[in-house]
Amino acid sequence: MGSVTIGISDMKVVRDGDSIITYALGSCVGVAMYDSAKKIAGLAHILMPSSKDVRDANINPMKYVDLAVPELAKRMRRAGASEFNIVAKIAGGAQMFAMSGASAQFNIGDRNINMARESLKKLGIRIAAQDVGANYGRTVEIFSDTGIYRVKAIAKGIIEI
Amino acid sequence: MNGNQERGYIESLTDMHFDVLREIGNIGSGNAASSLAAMLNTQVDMNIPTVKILDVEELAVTIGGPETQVVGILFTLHEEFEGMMMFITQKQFAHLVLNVLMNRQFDKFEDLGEMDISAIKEVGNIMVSAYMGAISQMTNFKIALSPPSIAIDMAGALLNVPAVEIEKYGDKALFIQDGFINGENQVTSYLILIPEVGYLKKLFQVFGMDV
Repeated sequence: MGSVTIGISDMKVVRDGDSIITYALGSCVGVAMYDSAKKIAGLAHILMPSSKDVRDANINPMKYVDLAVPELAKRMRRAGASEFNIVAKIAGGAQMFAMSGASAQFNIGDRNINMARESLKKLGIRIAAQDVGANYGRTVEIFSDTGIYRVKAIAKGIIEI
Repeated sequence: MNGNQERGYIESLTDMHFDVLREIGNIGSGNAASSLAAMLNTQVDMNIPTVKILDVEELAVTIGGPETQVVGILFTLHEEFEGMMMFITQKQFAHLVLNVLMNRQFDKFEDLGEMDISAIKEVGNIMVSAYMGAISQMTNFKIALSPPSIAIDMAGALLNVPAVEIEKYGDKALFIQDGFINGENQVTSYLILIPEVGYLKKLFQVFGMDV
């Protein structure tokens, strides 16, 4: 059983007991997907909520929640996951800095979480567990054999959801 | 925000542009060392600063890895030069500052009190003002800093904030690494500057450069 690491604006799908880890989500959201019957797991580490205002021919879909969530679902299905079995677990979306007179960009964590919920709902994917918001960073790991989503924070230690 | 038309501008800079940025880094670091010495009332020497253009993943690696616990102090820049700046230090820097300023030892960041945090914040404020002073000296731009906002957490998580800002301009930021030496202590600080591209161009124009 191996573990693969993904960076920011990146995603992977694994099976056969492998896991996927990504370090230090701040305002970024870590959307994990899992098919318990096929033991297939996916993880996306996503930076921004929406691609709507981006005019870039070479847009990276893994960077924006509204594109990354359907892309991850697509890769899960391509790997053999059944549409009806996929559930999601989400973590991250913190507000790392409290700014006085906070402009919207500093609440990007909230916007990422809201967009993740909306995008998953559109796909009919249920959110089975979540550890989101607050003001601290999280390292996350999804395990393809159990579907456990392990969330590690400096002050809070490790939880499994 | 016209960020999308400006994507990749920072990556497209030439060596001449880069020399200007390096010079800002050098003068700013010198100012910062003087400020630190005055604040701590002790001699502070410094290594030659490292000035680079890095993407977000490289920033996290350079600072010691995404899970390294660091102090980040965030500012926004206003008036004649707009953008965002983040001052990052590792534990040793906070340790030195608290040791000298507050006459206090600490083992864990979790043990820091409100007074300690505000002392570190003030140091960050003074350091960032020193770097901004370099831009002002060279350009006569009037630059105002927002009040500082502080967080102590995983480097990668803190870097999400500049990452979102950097994203508008094509994934790269200016990075200055400084080593300060005080007696037997050597501490490192990092400064990440993400200027709005329009203001960066204005800065280069002051030096008579193509933008």
